[in-house]
Amino acid sequence: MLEVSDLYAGHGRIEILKGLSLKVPAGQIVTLIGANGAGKTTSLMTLSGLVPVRKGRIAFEGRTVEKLAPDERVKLGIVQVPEGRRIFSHLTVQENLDLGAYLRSDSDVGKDRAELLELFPILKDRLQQLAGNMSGGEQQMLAMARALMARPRLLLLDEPSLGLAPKMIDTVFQLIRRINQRGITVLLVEQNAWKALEIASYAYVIETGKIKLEGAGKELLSNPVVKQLYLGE
Amino acid sequence: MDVFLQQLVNGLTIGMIYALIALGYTMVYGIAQLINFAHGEVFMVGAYFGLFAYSILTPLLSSPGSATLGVFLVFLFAMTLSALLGVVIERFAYRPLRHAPRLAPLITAIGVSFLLQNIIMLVFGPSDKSFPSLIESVTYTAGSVTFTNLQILIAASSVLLMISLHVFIRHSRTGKAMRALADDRDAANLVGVNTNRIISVTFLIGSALAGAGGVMFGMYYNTINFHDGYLAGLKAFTAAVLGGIGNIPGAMIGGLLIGVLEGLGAGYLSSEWKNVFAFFILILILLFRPSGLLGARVVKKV
Ligand SMILES: Nc1ncnc2c1ncn2[C@@H]1O[C@H](COP(=O)(O)OP(=O)(O)O)[C@@H](O)[C@H]1O
Ligand SMILES: [Mg+2]
Repeated sequence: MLEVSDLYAGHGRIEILKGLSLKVPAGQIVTLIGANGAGKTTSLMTLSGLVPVRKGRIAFEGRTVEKLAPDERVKLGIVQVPEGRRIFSHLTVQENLDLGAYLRSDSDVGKDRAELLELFPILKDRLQQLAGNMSGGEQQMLAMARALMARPRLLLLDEPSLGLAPKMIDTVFQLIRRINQRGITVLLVEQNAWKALEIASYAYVIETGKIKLEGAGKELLSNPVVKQLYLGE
Repeated sequence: MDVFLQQLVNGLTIGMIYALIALGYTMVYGIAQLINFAHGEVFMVGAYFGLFAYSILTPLLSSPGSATLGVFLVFLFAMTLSALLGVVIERFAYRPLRHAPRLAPLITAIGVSFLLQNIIMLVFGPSDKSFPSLIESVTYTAGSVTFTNLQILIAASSVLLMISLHVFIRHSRTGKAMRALADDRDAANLVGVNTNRIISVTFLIGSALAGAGGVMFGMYYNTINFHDGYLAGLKAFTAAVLGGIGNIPGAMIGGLLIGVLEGLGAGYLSSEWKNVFAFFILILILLFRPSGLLGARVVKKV
């Protein structure tokens, strides 16, 4: 579904991604793990079109997309839940959800919202509340629901468990499974490598802007290098 | 007391005009993080657009049956052309500098200001142009206060424009995108909001409001000049800062406050000093409360 080949990108004069290559097959959960500053967020921002590509190719369902503007990529179904949630804090929960469907003009938006509120019940009673007044966990739910309102085909998740209480982390990972079961392909970036490798069918380890290691999720869980560096054993 | 009420009414009238201009400063700042110092010139050019529309529509305006339609068309014409002017300025003077250091767009703003002033001076001449009242003046008296139908027209149409703006930003899809962009640009892009498009719309709306203000200004003072945009623009900018730059209700309140202070200053002190008050206030806010009365950067909070 997504194929990234030999990608170079960065901020200003600094090059962050130096020949990144990875594949996300349709219907799967693929994870990208790596230390702080390895270039995970930059990778997702490049996929979404917020960081320009210098060299290399991004193919999505056979189309070359690296030159498309962010909104055009959303239209194709590449939708991101950014690191730190980045909900619109001065807007209401309802408005955040409406904005998730910003590019949609089909008549199913209302139906989708009702369905999503079943998936994220804590948002239901808070529709008129300002999003910024919610707890971190609730904001993460909103950020995910907002992205789902766009009807993604590929969902990019950047550290969805960051800063959440353990119970909330479990909820988030359960939700990722359920979202994937609905037929949405997931590319998951995580620091919580344990959980990510458990849930993912395939995994990549990024180090200074390049893929260092890759393999099936379970395989990497028992890889000695991964164990030492990313699982803290 | 008589002076007070009279100057309050006069101050509110001109305050409405300042508020309309201030909205453009504040919206553009809130959404594009840019101070559009050419905005006062858009207001001034808007008044000339109104004058030009008048010259075309004179037959309509002079026949009693269609005078209202004529005034409406003058506003529509001036607002539309001002809106286009604002969009063009953004497209060619600011957009190429979107990622440049903040000083760069400020410098082009000054360039655009000079350009517009000089074009108007060359086309219409450097001296004051008389501006028609457009409507036949009727004066009303309530107690010791007198006011005209023109003042009612200015207040009513300003309030109508501000309510429309509020409803638009609050409820429309584009309005939500504007607030989203003001709140978090990257996150807005990630849901598919196109920054360029929304900034264009912001300039369009702000400039249309300034154009309306320009026509009102001309009708109220009956004369316009190519350098009128400078002073009015600076006062409206002060109003925006006073209300909290980026804050839409703040700009409305700030505009009215500046107008009223100016009116009272002219009534109690001297009308020669009236232009000084706004700048005195600007200095005071910048010294003591730079975030303004209602807090800065909250296009989000409408
Ligand atoms: N906006 C930016 N401007 C300059 N450098 C940045 C910016 N964002 C991230 N970086 C740098 O890019 C590198 C990779 O960051 P990032 O992609 O956020 O890594 P990760 O998400 O894996 O922690 C870091 O060294 C970081 O300091
Ligand atoms: Mg990161």
